Amino acid sequence: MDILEVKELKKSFGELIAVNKVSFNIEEGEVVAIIGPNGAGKTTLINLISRWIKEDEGIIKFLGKDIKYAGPIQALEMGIARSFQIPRVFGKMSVLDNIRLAITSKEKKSKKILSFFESDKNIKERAIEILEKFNLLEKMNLFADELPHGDRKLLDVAIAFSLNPKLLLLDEPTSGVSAAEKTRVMNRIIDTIRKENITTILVEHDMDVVFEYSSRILVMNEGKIIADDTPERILNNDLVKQIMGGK
Amino acid sequence: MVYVVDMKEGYNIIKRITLIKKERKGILYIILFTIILAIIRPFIGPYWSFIVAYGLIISIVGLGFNLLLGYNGLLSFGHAGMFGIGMYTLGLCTKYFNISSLEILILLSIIIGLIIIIGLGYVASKLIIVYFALFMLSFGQIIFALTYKLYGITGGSDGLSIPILTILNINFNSRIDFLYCYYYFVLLIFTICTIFMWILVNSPFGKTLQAIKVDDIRATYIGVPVRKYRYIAFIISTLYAVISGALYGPLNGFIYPELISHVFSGEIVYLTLLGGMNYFAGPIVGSFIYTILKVYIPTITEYWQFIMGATLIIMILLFPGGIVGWIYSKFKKR
Repeated sequence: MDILEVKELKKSFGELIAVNKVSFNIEEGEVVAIIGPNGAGKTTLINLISRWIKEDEGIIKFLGKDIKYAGPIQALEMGIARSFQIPRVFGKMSVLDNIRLAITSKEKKSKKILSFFESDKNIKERAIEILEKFNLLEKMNLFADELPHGDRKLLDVAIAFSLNPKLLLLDEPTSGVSAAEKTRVMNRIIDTIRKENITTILVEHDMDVVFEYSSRILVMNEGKIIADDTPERILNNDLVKQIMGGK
Repeated sequence: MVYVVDMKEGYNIIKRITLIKKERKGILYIILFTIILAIIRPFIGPYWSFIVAYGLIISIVGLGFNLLLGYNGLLSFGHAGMFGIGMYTLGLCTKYFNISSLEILILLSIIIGLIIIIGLGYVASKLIIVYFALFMLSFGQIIFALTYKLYGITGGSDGLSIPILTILNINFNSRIDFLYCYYYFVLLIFTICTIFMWILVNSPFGKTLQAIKVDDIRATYIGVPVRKYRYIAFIISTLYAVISGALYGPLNGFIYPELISHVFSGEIVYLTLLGGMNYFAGPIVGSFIYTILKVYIPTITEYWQFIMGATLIIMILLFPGGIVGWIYSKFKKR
């Protein structure tokens, strides 16, 4: 079953057409990578699906429903969560609190004024479970901005994961992470996602990461999708080789 | 007779007390502070009773102000205007409706204040950073100008005197008798406001506000309707200013527009930074130190404003965490 259908999606910023008549479908449980050179429109596409910006033309259907009028919060309620290229975590709060905040919000308990945040044991237990999955348990009492970059990236994904998404959008989960750390970060993320069978769209620069972890690859260039295939076939696609600089 | 003291039991009790969670400990500290202030009242004369009551009143507006600045990252230069709404609502009600019951007057100030705040907050919650600061400054100055120019109603710069009010239907013969009782009334309101604020900032709502301060985009992407949260925070914050303003009139017995000009808004910012905006107790400590400085420095030099400004600059450069932050850092090192 298709969880996401994108049809003829278009978005321009002034003269620049960032996303140009893009169409694709994503099936439940797939881990799809979007690759392409800088300025290809990958992040714009993620911003459109997560409803940070609105399209000029085209349709995005999530679970069969048109999400034209949804904002980020409605999209999240439907099950679309995301992480960010530059990790967005709550810096001056503990790693544990970062996850607890997300779960509290997901459970619609953020509005509570007359109870203590820390007294909800149920939420704490679940937060700890999630931190364990992402290997962050030992660091749960550190401030999020004290974490090394790789762990901050993991925390960003863990926050999105704790919102119980049906579709997870990961915007360059390994950007800025050292080569040695990349495998550790990606293994953690992909292991967890696969175990829970969460459909994922992964925007990546690093070809090694893409070919190792995704089941299908969309190649974007100048706002258009120029190839949509399995990693093996993408590797042998001449046009892709040319665009990606022979990587 | 021999008392057998079970050391182990005693040790367990001590252990249990020290294990009380941070949030509950906070409430205990607030109650302890209240008890100390309640006990010392008979031992301090009218002068110090006035100063402590003033410090408590200013603490309330400081606490409210810091809900926006310290916990949500919004700097308001208009809390003096909100203070003015409370102050003048109470003053005008005594003048035109001859109401002398303190409780009813405070309640009326809260109701009128809420009506204005709910409307104003709807617009203000759309704004952030400098736009919010300027919007609030303008609003504060409008309230100031109204109280100044509507001479026929407010008495303009001649001010308004507040008669001696009744507390729980008790009449007072002199200002000093009233002050002694009013001290406890202010202390009670202060305690309620402080405990409520403490619970609020430690609640899921309060934590979420702090999350919005750190990163409002991430907050949106965990499903927090950021504007709505800012709106609620604005209402609570400014309501504290209204309550504080309403309490001020009966204490001073006289109100006038200069009390609520932009200078006072600046002073609220001053005392919050002085105490430490990242700490719950910051505005309370700041209020008391500010009150004492404001009373004593003018007796030493006529350039008191220079001294006040200089202290703030020194504080910001040397102790950016304010006084409370400085004390905390001392404890941490040990």
